[in-house]
Amino acid sequence: MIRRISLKTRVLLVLAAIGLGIGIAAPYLFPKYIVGLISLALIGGLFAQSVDLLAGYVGLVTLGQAGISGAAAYGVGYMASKVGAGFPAQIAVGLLTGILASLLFGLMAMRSNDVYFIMITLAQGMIVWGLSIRLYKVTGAENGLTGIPRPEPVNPYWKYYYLVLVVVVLCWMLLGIIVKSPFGASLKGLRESETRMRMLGYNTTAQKLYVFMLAGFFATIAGILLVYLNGFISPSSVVLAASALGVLEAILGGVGTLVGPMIGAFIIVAIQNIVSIYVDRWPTLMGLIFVVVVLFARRGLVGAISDVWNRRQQEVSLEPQSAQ
Amino acid sequence: MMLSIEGLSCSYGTAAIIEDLHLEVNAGEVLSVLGRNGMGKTTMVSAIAGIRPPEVRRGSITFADRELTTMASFEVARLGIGLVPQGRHVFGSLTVVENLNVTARPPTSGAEPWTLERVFDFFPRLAERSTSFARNLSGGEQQMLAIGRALMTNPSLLLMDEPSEGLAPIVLGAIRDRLLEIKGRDLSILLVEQNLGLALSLADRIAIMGAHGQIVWTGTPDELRRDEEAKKNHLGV
Repeated sequence: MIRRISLKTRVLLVLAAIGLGIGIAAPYLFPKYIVGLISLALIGGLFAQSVDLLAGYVGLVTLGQAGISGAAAYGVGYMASKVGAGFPAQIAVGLLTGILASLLFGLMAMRSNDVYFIMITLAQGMIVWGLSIRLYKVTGAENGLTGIPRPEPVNPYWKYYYLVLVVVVLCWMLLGIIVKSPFGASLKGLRESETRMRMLGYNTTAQKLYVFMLAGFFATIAGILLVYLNGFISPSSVVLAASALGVLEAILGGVGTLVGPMIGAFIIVAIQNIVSIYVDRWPTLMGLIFVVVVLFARRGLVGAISDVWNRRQQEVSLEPQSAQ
Repeated sequence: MMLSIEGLSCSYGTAAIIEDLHLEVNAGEVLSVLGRNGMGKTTMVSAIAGIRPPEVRRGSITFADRELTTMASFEVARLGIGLVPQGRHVFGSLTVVENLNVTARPPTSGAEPWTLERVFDFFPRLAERSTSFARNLSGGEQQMLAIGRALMTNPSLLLMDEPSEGLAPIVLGAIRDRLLEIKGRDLSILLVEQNLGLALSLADRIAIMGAHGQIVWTGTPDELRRDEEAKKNHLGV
């Protein structure tokens, strides 16, 4: 039996195809600076998606995710600038440090909920920030680690852009499979009621550790992509504001969706890097946008658009049918 | 014997709810526990399911030779005890299919497994609403979903806490007919109810719970039908 594709799905598929088309053509359409910003937004979007996996799907808001992506970035940076290791070793150590940080932080946080979870993850982020300042020989303290070259085959900006695009799209697809799977449904169940999930046979403590590590894995990938994009890593990448930005991007775009955090990241990168050229008080503008979204679109931009669409569809279905 | 409760005492903080409860559920039987409000029926269900609070102060609950009082609720569920909680508590933000799939677990016994298809055959109404969010279902549909979700864990003991609550008689009748179909098929049921009609039509044995969780009357449905004094004294009927 052939399933009829709904109008909403068709519109989404067309929009996805347009987005992917622009993404593929970007180096031919835009100057180098803009392509760099798109790379930054894609990486920021992946980072925000990792935050959203916890915040939107499980209801656990984290303020320490930059600590995990930062640990991965420092792993790469240390191997590149201090050890002089090859790219496979750099990436392997980056993955290892990021996943190890996820495991340690997950073990610390998995028994907490709500505001306690926020406070613990905030503290975890601050620990990484503190270590990045203190461990001078490893992290370069305030100066950070500089001169981290990109792998030779993707060194030109446009080739690196394509690498970022491919990795982010693959991660997005993987996240899509995860949230649509029974495991993803169980995460939403966990968001609704941990007690109920336990009485249905779920070891929710272990489940929280799994999802924390999964989110940490995607933050790790974002951290590795970012350190090669920038060519350096410094404590400013692991400060509280970096973690909070991921949360804000998810809220702006719409939590509990994967496209929302990506849209949020593009908006924030645009405000920070393009609008700021014309508007001196761009942080005020950004603040205003957040206030408006929180007041009038609680479910973020994607949620607001979805609500308008659903309302319109309902109106159409209620309109009297004209005689054939 | 499937479930055995021996000298169970439970409390919420300093408030003792159940004192020295003794109860047994045999393999394949439907035992209905009746009682007025506040007697401790739901507390007993929570204690069996490993939900804390209430705290278990004394006594034991054994299921298939395993002590349950020291277990977490997820460990109890994995032993083969399915729970249909009071108030249904389906996951509103999940669709019907997701609600069912999320709890799917292989059976602990050699019984015919409950699958999505089997649950849909059992409750055709759920199949019709399969892509609807659970929050948009009617009360009766939510109750069917709560039962279906518990069945998907492939339990050998089903705990049902007031499944008749808030349901129209016609819906309740439909659910009762379905439960009569699975009764005795590798499945024991502990039905906690205030609805005498449902208990009488479904149960093999009835126990009436009085103050502080004491079992004050036991017998068959026919015996209870004839015992006007027990109905009047303990159930106010």
